[in-house]
Parts: sequence; C-alpha cells; structure tokens
Amino acid sequence: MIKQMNKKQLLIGGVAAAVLVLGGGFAMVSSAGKKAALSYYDEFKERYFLEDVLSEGEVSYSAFSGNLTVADPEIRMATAQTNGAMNFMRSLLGSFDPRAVGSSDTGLGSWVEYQLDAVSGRNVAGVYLKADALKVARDGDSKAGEIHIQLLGLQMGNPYISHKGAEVVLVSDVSDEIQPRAELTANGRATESDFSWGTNLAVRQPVTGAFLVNSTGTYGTQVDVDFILKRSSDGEGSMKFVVTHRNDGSKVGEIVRKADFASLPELDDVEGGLKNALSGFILAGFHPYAGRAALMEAVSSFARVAKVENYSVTYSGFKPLKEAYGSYQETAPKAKFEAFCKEVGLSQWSSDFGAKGKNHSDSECAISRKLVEEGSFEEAYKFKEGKSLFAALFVSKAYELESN
Amino acid sequence: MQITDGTGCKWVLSTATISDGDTLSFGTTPAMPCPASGFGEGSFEKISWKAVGTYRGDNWSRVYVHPSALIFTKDLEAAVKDKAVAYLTPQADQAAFLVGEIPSRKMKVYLAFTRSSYGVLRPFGNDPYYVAVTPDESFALDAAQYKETALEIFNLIKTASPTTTDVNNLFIVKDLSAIANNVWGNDALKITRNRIGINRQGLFFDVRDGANWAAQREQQRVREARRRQQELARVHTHVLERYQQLQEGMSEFKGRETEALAQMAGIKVRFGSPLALQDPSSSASVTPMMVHVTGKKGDFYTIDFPSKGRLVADEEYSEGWYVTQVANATPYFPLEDGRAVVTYRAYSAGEPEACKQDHCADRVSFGAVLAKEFPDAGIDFSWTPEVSQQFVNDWNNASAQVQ
Repeated sequence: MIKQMNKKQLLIGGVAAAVLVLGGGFAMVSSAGKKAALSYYDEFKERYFLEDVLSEGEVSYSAFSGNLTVADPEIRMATAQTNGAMNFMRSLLGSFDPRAVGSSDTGLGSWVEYQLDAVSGRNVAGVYLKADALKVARDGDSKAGEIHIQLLGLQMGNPYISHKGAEVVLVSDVSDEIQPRAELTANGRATESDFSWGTNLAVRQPVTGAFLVNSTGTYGTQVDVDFILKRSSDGEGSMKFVVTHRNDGSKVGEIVRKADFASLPELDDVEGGLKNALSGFILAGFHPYAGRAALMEAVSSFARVAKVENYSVTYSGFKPLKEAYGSYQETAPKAKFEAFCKEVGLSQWSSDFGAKGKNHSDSECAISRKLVEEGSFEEAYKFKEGKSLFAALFVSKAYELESN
Repeated sequence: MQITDGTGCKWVLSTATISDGDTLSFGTTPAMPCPASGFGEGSFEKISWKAVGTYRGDNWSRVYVHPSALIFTKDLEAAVKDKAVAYLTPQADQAAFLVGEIPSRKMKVYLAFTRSSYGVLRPFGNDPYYVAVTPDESFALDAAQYKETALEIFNLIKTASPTTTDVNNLFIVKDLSAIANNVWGNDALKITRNRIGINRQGLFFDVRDGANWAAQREQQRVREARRRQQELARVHTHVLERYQQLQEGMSEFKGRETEALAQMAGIKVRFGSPLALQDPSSSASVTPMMVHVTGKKGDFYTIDFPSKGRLVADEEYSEGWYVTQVANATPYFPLEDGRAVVTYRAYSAGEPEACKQDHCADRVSFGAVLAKEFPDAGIDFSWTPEVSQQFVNDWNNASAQVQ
C-alpha cells in the first residue's frame, strides 16, 4: 500500500537539501516579522517548484527568536515523476547550459564529481526526506545580517526507495510483498516483485556524514543540521555548519565545519548560489552531465567572489564505527583497515585539495580510520590573503593544510 | 498388391503398374490348386498378367513361387525352398533367408536376394549375396580373426546352400535391417563388407579389400581418445598453474584458508555492506552461505559467522556450522538500538545438515574450487595435485611413444 501523499509539500526540503549539499552554503530568508517570513516561505516554495512534493506540518513563527518553524517537513519525489515535479526538473534543466561551464579536469571538476558521487552514476530513485522540524531565521539585511537554518531530526532510514507511478514507495510500505517468502519460487528466487529500488538522494549526501550511517547500519540515526552564515557591512563574514548525529536522543557524533571570510557576496546574491547548487544535485539524478555543470557553476560563481581566510572540518565521536571495526576484527584479526573499508562500503576516494597534506587523505575510509584510532578527524585550511576562494582552491592551491 | 485369380488363389504383385479400376487378366501355366494358405505356390512354366485395355502387363517364364508369395526365377528355387523369409526391406526389393548359425560367434548367416525396386517388381533373379549378423564387431579389428570369421561363414553357406557359392558380397552387420541401405546411409549397424566366393581359381577372399566400418570406428575412437587425452593434459596444466596461484594467494588468509576456499567455491563467507543489505533488490536472489549457528532467540537463530546476525527459517537448526541457502531479509525487520540487524532467510531442502568440521572444512577443498573453475576437467572434491599431474604425465608418455 502506498501512503497517499499530502499534495501540499515542500519548500523546506529545498533549503535543507541545498544546505546539505554545499556545507558552506548560502541561504536567503526575508527579514523582519512573521508576515514577511511567511510570505518568503511561500515565495520560496514557488521558486523551487516544491509546492507539489513537500508536505508540512504546522508552520509557526516566533517573534522572540525570529524563527520560522515548519513542523514535520516531508518530501517525496520520485525521479519518474509525471506531475509538477517533472516541471520542476524541466525548468531546472533549462536554467543551465552545460557548455557554459569550464572543463572538468580542474580541481573544481573533481571536487564536484566527489560531491555527486552519491547521486550520479547510480540508480537514483528520487528524494524521500523526513524531519522533525525546519527552522529558518534571518536578521539584518542583505549587507549586514545573519542567516540561520536548522533542519532537526532528519531521518537517515530509507536509503533505498522506489516508486509506483509518480508516488514514492518506501520499503516499509510494501515489505510484505518484497521480502523473502517461506518457499522459493519456481525459478529459485526468494521473492518476485516489479519494484525497482534506487538511491534516496536525501540521505546519501556526503556532507551529512551519511557514510558513517551506511557503514555501521545505524539507520535509526537522526541528524540535526545547523547552518549559520553571518555577514558584516564591511563584507567580512563567517560560516558555521554543524551536523549532529543522534541515536535514540543521545549524541553519537558531530561534524563541524567553520569558515571565516575576508569577503562574502551579499546575502541576497547567495540565494542564487543555493538554488543552483541544489539544482545540481537533483539534476545529477536525471542527467549526470547537466548536474555536474550546474553544481560547478553554482560553486564557482560563489567561490570566485568569496575570499576565505580559513576553513576547518572536524569529525568527532561516532563510536558505532569503532564497534563495527571491533566486530570485524573478531572475524578477520589480521586484515588491514582498508579491508574493513571495503567490507562496509567506505570509499577510498580522496579529494584533490584534501590530499595535498603529506600522508593525509580525506576519503571516507581515512576519516573513519582517524575516528576509530583517535576519536576525531581534523582538517584546517589557511588561505593566502587576497585570493578568491576559487583561485585558492582550484587554480593555484594558495592554502596550507593542517590535519591530525 | 494382392489379387485373387479365377480359381480363388491369391497372389502378391507389384502395386506400381496396377491402378484402381483396372481389370486384370491373370493366368498361370500349369494351373494348380492353391495350397492351404490360399496363396499361389510352387513351380510354374509361366505366369502372365495384363491390365485389360492398357499396355501394362508381363509374362514371367520358369518361376518358383515361394510360400511367402515372393516370386523367384526357377534356378534360385534350391536356395530358398524350405527356408523362411527372415527380412524383407520396406520397398520389397531385398529379401533375406536364414541359412544357419554359428553359435560360438553369436552369429546368424543369411542369403540376401535383390531385385530392382523400380516399376514392376519382377521375380528375384540374381544370385544372392551373403549376410552375417552379430552383435560383436571385435573380429573386424584384427585381420587374422576377420579372415577366419569370413571363411567360417562361407563354409556354412557352402554346406547349407551348395548352389550359391559364387563370388559375391559378404556383408557383416549388427542388425539385419542394415541391408536396406547396404551401400549408402547410416553406417552405425554395419561392420564389414567384402567379396567372398568360389571362382575359377578357387576360394577368393582378400582381407584388405572392401569396407571395414568397425575399423573406421576404432580409428575414430583412438583419435578421439588421443585428442581428449591431449585436451585433458592441456586443461590440467592450467589446473596446476591455478592451484599454484591459489596456494600463493592463500598466504593472505593464514588461519582462514577454509573461508578463502569457500568463497572461491561460490559460498558466501561475508555479509554485504550495511548499505547493500538495505537494498531490497538483493532479497530475491538465493545464494549459499557458510553460517555458524549459536542458538535460538525468539523467532530467530543467532549466528556469529560470517559475523553477528540472525537467520529466519522454517527448518530446525541446531548449534553448529552449516552451508545453507540464504536470501537477504535485513530491510524487513525493525531496527534494534537504532541499528539494522543483519537477517537472512534460510532455505533448506529437508532437514538442514550440519557440517562435520569447524568452518565447514569438510565441505570445501581445492577440488571444489577448481571443479568450479574447470567444469570440464572431471575434478571432484577429493582432488589433489597428483590427479592433474597424472593427466599431464599420461599425455607426455603417449606422445613420446608416437614419436
């Protein structure tokens, strides 16, 4: 049985997914007051064509915190959509001209490949996102202000989804039909079903630390995403992006990304980048090349304007990983850590700029190894003055990396 | 076609020249009463028939009508009289008559008469050729035995049928039906064909002459065996190389050799990654997996190999090692402490049979692995390198002898 969906759905998902995507993200929330916040929310939904795919609980506004809170946001979007979501896709496709984007042999190209790894080249079924709440707040104006976006209680279950027509189908919706039966079928199969299962984009983004869930099987994990971007009137700014994994209410681990900017685009301009980055991810599910182009365009247009002083990433906690490694060692005492990575599906892919440090890698496997052995993984980049982020990262590598 | 003459005697004539609606005039000289069988029989000066109002008709002089209704020229009467028809070809153009038997060779000897099968079936008029039937063709592989056999057959013919001793074909077959295609066609039932008989110089027989299908088959078999031997040697050379390779690879699996072998033999010894186990697409396929059952908890059998997990099964599993068929059922059971518990549904035809040794060492071997990789090499579970070496040596010896 397929759960009938509430047709009224989804702005938040767009924001959330975009935040998840970029890590160092951009967002735009209208300033001042409930009315403005609500109208921004409606506009946002319209802008991202999310009206048909996002279902939401109560939308409330707190004058005290300035937060717009959307309860129980849920996005269900199958790639085989024939309804409004297809419209959404088509319009996104139209927004980008792949030919306008630079060659993929730059550092940016490979970084984009890495980000899209979870999305393109695999069987993408769509997006199923479910969280407890989305909070959006905005202070100040475009030149001097703060954007604060929180997605709380994002569920990491349902890594695979399917669809029936335009409706997303979850494993639990049809488990009686698809699970192995007591008797084998005539052709020696355990079950027969027509559903085709593919990736759920919402829970596979590297930036949320999805690999830490997928390598330990801790699908009960709920993730809180907390993103703050500040800009002062002189153009300096800072970003803090915290991803917290919780299991049954208690904290399992944390990923903190921080950046200080010598120069940031105005907050209103950041919004375009956010939308485009999100588009890139979703597009990649349909059209890998266009998706890559879209994400590269979004990132490079931001990175060409922004100047970064420093950027750091810290993973800490994530004990289940150590436990998983421990039980792996029981069965294969002499195996190397890389064998464990292979066993549980941790990638060995290291980004170009992360690998610049000696003997340093930022692959999922390397991060996991540090977490198992030292309890944390740390990376800190210091950028040369005056260079744009783009130039520093993708052109001349004008930065120093420190890591544990 | 069978007709009945004016006195009520029945005759068997050709079908070809007499059509429905023809009126047939028929006469014999002398006219004789029919014997009890109702069929015309005996010696006649002349038999004549004619389809009235047509040009079709014939006169046969000096003929002998055998009790089988087959008609022979008079000079063949002695050869067929008092003998029964043993075989008549479907076209009725050949008939065989038993002459005698050679019990020591499980052999029966026949005279075979032929006539044209074109148009009217005229009386049999040619000298017969000789046919011997035996299931054992080994005599044909040795010239001396072949000659001895042929002469023995001819002696029997000479004794039993003194009027038919001219040089003619001697056709030795495994079944009398082979005479129906004694020149062309399926050779499987044929053993030899050669000429034998008495001419002006006396007895004629040349063992090197004629056709010898048994010898051809034997040569083919020897060639085939040799080719097979060479092929086996070639395959087993690869088997030995692969064995060497496997052994070197084993050093990585020190202490876990059995697992490595099981895996190579197609038995799962590892779970999929936690993410892969969430994929419902993996639930339909059923594969063998090695498990160690540690007990039962609620509806589940607990296992600690390949790693901690559970089985659901309709059959009873006691504590121990098994190789059992499984399908992934992990996505369909609730998480425990927020974690997916690896769960497989196990299938067994009948009562699950536990392995006798730890890690099912009794179920895996190099033989099992190599048998899977070299399915045509005749490798079984108990294979050792010596087995393959023997194939290689046999061929080396055989080819050395030929050179």
